[in-house]
Amino acid sequence: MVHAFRKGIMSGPFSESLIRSRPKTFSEIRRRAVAYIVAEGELTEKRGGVVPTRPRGPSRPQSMRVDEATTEKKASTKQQPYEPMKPHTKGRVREDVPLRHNFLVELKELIVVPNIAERLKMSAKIDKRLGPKKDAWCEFHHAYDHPICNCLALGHHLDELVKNDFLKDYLLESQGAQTLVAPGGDQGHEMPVHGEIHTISGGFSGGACTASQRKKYARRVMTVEAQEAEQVLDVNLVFTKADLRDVVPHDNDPVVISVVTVGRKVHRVLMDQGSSADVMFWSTFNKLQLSPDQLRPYIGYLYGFVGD
Amino acid sequence: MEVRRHKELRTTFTDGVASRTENIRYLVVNAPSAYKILLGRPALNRLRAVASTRHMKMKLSDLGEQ
Repeated sequence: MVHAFRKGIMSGPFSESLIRSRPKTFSEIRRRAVAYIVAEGELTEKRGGVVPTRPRGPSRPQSMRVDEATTEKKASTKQQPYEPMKPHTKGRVREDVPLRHNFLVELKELIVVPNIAERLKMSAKIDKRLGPKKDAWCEFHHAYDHPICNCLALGHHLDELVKNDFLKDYLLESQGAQTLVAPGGDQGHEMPVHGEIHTISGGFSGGACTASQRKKYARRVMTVEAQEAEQVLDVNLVFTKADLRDVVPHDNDPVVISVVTVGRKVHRVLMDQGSSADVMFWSTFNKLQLSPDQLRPYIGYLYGFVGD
Repeated sequence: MEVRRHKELRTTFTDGVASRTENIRYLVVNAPSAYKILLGRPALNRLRAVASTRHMKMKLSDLGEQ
């Protein structure tokens, strides 16, 4: 086990010393680790009192290795002096920093408003007045460690309440609008569309099937010409409530109409507004009792028709 | 789908108020379908009609033609 511990820790002065003189028992390791921790603390103070943000060398990797190495008890005794920040972030896996909202009242007043206080799941009171910073009192945690405006847990709670519109009376208006807009980032149609299925393309639109016809069509579209005044009446095509009267509410029904052609009424005519061709099926053509001789040739293809 | 033939037919549409008869060029297709005729954009343009899916209706602009 001692060997495993020596292998597991990160290289640094402590691990070097462990390699130079091998410890016999775990209690010896513990004793030496504490000595190193004290020494390192003094060293950093001497260097200018800047406490590194990351817990230092030998102790940190150990905490990761501990679980495998079945030395939990020993590790935890060593970890403690290094992890004063841990209790208030425990259980929060979310990495996103909560949005900062501007409230009309101060945070410490806000959280004691009875209505809000019962919604905020007050953190289980921590017995220890944790943290070395005696000047930063968090009203939410009832503990010394960080000022309330930096409290992550409270930030997350308030975030949720703001999202649920619960705090709108307390929000500063402009800020409220921003935060409402920000999360609504609609990423709806980011995916590129490679083509369309189920609309029929081809047919006579865009000219026809031969190149010369298509060119002719394109030229006609691109030119400006004085058209003889067509008989166009200014009509409003409006669908009103009255038009909805005998319509069964639906989500996805197509518009199907009936038309009269060649003296016969044809039901089940689909208005397919996506298709570039008017299509009649061969069976219908037969039922209309038309002669196939009347058909004129068409050289071309319909794309997207019945799945091909 | 390869199309070999087409045919122009005079087709009458009515929306209860207005009624129009137009020449519609149908491509004749030999395929199974639940529908008899599919009307696409060319017909809609020719008819100057508006179809509303919500209302399940088509409206024709009444030009006074019969």
